[in-house]
Amino acid sequence: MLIISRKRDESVLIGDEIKITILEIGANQVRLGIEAPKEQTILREELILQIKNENSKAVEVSVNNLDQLSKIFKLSRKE
Amino acid sequence: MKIKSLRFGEIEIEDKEVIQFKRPILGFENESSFVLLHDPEYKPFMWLQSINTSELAFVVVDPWLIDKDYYLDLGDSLKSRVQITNQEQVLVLTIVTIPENHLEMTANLRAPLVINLEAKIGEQIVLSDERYNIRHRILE
Repeated sequence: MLIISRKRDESVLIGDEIKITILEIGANQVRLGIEAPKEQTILREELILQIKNENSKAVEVSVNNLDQLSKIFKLSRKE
Repeated sequence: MKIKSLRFGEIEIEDKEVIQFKRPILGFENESSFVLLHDPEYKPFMWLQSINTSELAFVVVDPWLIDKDYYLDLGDSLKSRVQITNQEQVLVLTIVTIPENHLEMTANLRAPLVINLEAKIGEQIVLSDERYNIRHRILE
């Protein structure tokens, strides 16, 4: 891992198109400003972990048959 | 080819029905081949069944049935990875989580599956849009 020290309002450039600026430094938290092409997905890491968890949960389907689910769904949409 | 599925036993599918997830569904790094199993009785739900692991199957549904204003932008790099050249090739699905109380089922609107039905390539993407939840209640 590359480790760089930065002060408030200083930036780091990644390649030609990504710029990360330190906006605020608190006791427990820093605020970052990120400039990147729209194409780049920027996510908090914990979101990926939450999605992995949710995917694993989704696999533990307690139904073997979707007929029942289908009925529940259709009834709810008729109301 | 014949595949085994926990819920349907042995089923015969055609090779061309197999969808490849080159970037794996998050948390399932060893699974890349799936098939969509649908039946009029299940509508609007479908199974996304793993080819190699009989007990691995996701329940999936069209996100626009859950949120008619659902919006996602397929960026150029995704389009090229999934080889999308026109809109008709695209199928977007969300994974459904079904707890013991089925009425509390949720859809993962934050991480939809984008599938090219012609090229049979799929990918789970993560939206930056914070309006969408990992657990969106399907039934209000």
